[in-house]
Amino acid sequence: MRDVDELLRALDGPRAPIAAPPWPRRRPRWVYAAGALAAAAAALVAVGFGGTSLPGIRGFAGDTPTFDLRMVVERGGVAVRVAGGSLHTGERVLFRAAATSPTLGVVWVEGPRGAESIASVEVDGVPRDVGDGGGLAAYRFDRPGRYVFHLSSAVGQCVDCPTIPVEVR
Amino acid sequence: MVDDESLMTRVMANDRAAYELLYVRWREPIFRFLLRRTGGRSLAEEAHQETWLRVYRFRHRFDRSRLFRSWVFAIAANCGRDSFRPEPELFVLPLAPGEPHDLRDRLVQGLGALDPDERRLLLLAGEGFEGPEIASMLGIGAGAVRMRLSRARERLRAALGGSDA
Repeated sequence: MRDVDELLRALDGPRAPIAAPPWPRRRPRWVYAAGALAAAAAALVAVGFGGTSLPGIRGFAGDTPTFDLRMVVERGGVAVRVAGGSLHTGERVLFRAAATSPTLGVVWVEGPRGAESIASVEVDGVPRDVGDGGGLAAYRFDRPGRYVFHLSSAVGQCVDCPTIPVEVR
Repeated sequence: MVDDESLMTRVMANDRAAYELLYVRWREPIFRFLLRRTGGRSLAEEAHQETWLRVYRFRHRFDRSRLFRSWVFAIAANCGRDSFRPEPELFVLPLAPGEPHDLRDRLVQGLGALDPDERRLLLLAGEGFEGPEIASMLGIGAGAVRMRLSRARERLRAALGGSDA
């Protein structure tokens, strides 16, 4: 039998999508998804999460960036900060990220389905909501279990990265 | 022919045509890599789209002293979920004489039994990337790459039920 590398190179499958994805249209930073997410986003500002209540993060140029991750759960249009503890299936969480120096990070979760990427984010010393031109990135719990949210340079890699563990019932 | 790095320089200047040309050149190798990494079409398509959106979104981070190939495979290796949902019937594996008829299924299942990091390392090595470059692409040490790659090959070999020819 051929060696594993040769076998993997020989393993073929369906063709790639013909067309490249369209480039995201430029939108203002604060574009919210409709409905409850929009209310939660407004509530982020109301509870001071969107303002200057988070301390600025500082660091020395040239250091390996240190990440900071905050999470809120949307409940009845109000955003409640989550630092751990229990949540419920069906609930959604939103994220805010920062780092000691400009870098690229990814918010990901280790849960019942293994490691899942939630969103990539360009971060710096100014805490910013995690999302893209399509709105805020939200993660909805569809099954009970233990979930640990991370912000690091790559999915599955966490060396002293910030984590937020929750138990979902 | 314009090289990839020159095209990427044009993408950095928001040249959509240059982006599409890079896409046409690299969509199949990247998609094949992601199919093997995720086991099936739907996750691969999701990761493929995310990869190319990141090529655009983070175009200004492209280091012109690097090869585009290394950069785009690093993005593909790091984006999308690490979930593996095997659809062996989607894959094609031409068999060499004497190889078992169910080798394709065993290979796909064996890939799924690796942990996401091992799978990613093995597939990058399969694309011709050397250990130090893989280490740089994934942000891990070269020693760790060597060790994990060796373990991944061993585990996959065991899953296939034999030793290398």
